[in-house]
Amino acid sequence: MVGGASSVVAPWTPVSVDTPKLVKEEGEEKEPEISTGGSSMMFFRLYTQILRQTQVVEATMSVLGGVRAASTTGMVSTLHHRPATHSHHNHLEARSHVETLPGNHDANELVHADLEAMFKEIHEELDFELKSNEELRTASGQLGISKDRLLGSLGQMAKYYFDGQGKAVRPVIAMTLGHAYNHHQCMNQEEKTETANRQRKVAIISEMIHTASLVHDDILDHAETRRGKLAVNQKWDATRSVLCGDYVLAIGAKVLAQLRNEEVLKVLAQVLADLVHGEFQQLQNKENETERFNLYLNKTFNKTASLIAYTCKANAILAKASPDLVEEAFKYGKNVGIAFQLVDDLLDFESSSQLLGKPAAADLKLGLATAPVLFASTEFPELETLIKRRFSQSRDVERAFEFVQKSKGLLQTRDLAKQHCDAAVQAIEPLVESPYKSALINLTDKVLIRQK
Amino acid sequence: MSWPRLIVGVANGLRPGGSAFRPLACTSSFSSYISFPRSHQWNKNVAEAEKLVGFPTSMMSFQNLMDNDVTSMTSHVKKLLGSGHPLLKTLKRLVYHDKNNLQVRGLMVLLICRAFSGQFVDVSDRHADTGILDRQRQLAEYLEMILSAQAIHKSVLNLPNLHDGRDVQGKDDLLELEYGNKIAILGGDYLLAQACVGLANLRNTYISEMISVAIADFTQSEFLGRRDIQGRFIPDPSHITQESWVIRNTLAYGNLMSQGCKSVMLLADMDPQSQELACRLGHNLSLALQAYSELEPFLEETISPREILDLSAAPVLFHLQEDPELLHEVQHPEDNNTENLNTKKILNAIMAKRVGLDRTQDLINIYVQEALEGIQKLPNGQNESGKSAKNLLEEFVAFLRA
Repeated sequence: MVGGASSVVAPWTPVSVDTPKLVKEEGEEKEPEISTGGSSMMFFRLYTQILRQTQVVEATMSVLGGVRAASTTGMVSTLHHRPATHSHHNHLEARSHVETLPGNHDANELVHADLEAMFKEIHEELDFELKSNEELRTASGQLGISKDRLLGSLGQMAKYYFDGQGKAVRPVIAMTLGHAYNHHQCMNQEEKTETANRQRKVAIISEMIHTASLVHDDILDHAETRRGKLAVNQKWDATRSVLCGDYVLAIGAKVLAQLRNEEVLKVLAQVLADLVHGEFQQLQNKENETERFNLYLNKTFNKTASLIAYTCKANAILAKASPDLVEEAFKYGKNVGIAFQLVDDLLDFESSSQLLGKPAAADLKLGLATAPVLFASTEFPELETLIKRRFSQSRDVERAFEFVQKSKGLLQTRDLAKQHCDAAVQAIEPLVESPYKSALINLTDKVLIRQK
Repeated sequence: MSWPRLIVGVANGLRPGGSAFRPLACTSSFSSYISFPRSHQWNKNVAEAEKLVGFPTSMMSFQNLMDNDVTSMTSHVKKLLGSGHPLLKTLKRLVYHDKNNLQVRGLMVLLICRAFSGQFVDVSDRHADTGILDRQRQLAEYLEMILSAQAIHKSVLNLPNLHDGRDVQGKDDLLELEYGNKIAILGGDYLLAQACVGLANLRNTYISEMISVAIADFTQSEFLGRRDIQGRFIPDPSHITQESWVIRNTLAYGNLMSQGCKSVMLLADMDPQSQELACRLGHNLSLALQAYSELEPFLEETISPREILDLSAAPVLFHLQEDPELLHEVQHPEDNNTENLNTKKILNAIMAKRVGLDRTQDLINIYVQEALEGIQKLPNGQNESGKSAKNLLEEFVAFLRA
């Protein structure tokens, strides 16, 4: 084993436990553990310890208003808080409890076992091509160099981001939706397991495509850190990172092909085209205000929502859902994806850099005008010139930041995100009730209220 | 501005060194290019082959990249003129030498298709004149897109961090180069993504799988051996052998070509024997072409030292086998930058001793021989006036032999 699964359950240390926000978060994250019926005494002790905190949180949340879910942790995976002793077996038991419990289902919890298996599989896939490759085997023999040393850093680089510490948002959505659809299709247990195994491949592909594009993005954006550690282009260098991204993508494409489903292959290949399209759109500048906003939304679909939407679609296809329902899966993913990105753009202005793991106003610094700025520019036309020159002159970033804070831009962005979440919930309305469906609905709330 | 005119601009805009951070003038980045002397005979063969396969090979994948509203690549590249970014040279070579070199790989795949066309089982999208299937033509195109994408990604540079507030000498020039990196990464990604979409549309998951693995193989080849600060190959004793050359180039180019040839057979529902024959032929053709492309610059009358020093090229490696002193020198470039090596000295040594050149020619001959044996086994074309696909392939390959 390459350490994928073990690092998944490794305890996660909060950046700073002292800040009230994080203390709250911790409490909130523990809370769903209880509701999943984890029966060990440890959970009960934990529960009593954090109960008071949780109540504080719930009070805070009712102030925020309009929130269905009890957790405010958003997409932060609760699995990082799992004690390392929490075995696979325990989890499966937990899940059967879950299925009998009404309401309040957490997607991260429900697909925990899937994710654990997923990271392990990703490591195996990335290693397989390095270890089984015929030419490399020959080379290793002829040159007297071990296979691991032969390729120097490629293996390490490729696995670097798949350490189980990421939020794994895309796989969580893909798997939860997959399960919800399997449930809807009235599959027997055997069919369910078999289908879910195939759907997990889609989750794997989504995480690999996402990571490959992150690696290339980070070179483009000169990122210094990613997922709480040195970005791959900093730890190694640009020339190798480009190839590493290509390698991860190629292995993802291979896993995709091995699903032996032509429709799914076609659906997910489109994501690659959309991602690049989105990057090119990011280089464009539009003079006209309406055009600018449309370009922004379109770019948001291409860069973020496309991957989520098409993986949802793929998993609905694998569940053999009707064409209408397959389209609804796409709609769910698309709307959640757009909402997710809108909130991301919002957090760039709202969240402290520590919490987000990247500096605040990072987008402005990259010359990008996201929804909050675009909304704010209707109130403060002064922003126009700044947007057009991509915040390139001195104090542009600071001024734009201030304008946005003064404007209704942040509020409007949140409203727009809310609308997309509502549309997402509406899309999966036709599905029969299940814990997974409930988790999908809760997930839209978490997207809205996440802090990082 | 039309694309060919732009390229002239690119060519004229190339600044000869001199910037604070002088990008490489010639490197392993270009080892993927097969550049042939503009021999009359070769060009005549290309023209005839194109006619035979009914495929206008000129710059299809580039048209796709450059004349596209989405990428507006042309305008991005225009901004790069004068920056000296290796991407410009990569594009220039891909376009200028297009007909003579890179595209011949796609062309050869199609010649193999043409030779087999009389036996195709699945002929649902067969072209009336050539007998080549539409999907085979597309696949040949995707192979070239992938090769171009890889060449473009190889032209990315390592640059110092320009955004941490510190003062960097020659920052404006460096920012231009950084922009070049951006365009190179996105341009390559665009071609790769288009190829993946195209492959998925062929609706054969086995083909997608084989080509994906070949793309992964290419990236692995770039991690073989020691590398300098710009990721360029540095020869060392274990990587100057013929075996290591074969392994590296099989990963880099051989596998894509052999899997591509196998894939076109799959598209026509051909039997496993034909698939295997095409696969082996593809492998041998690609290595023969690659070795020739590495030798060819040394055969020209005038050699510009900055234009041809690719330390991963077979003639360099095979020379170093016999020149331990030079090998030692090459292994330890100043600042781990191979640009600081005395290119002229290395060139002169290779040209004087000739052993590197002779061994490379021997290597070419091995693969030419293998390829010819494969070509013999191809079916004889039907109803072909003039030369058959088989004849043309033979002529192409024989050209590579000394």
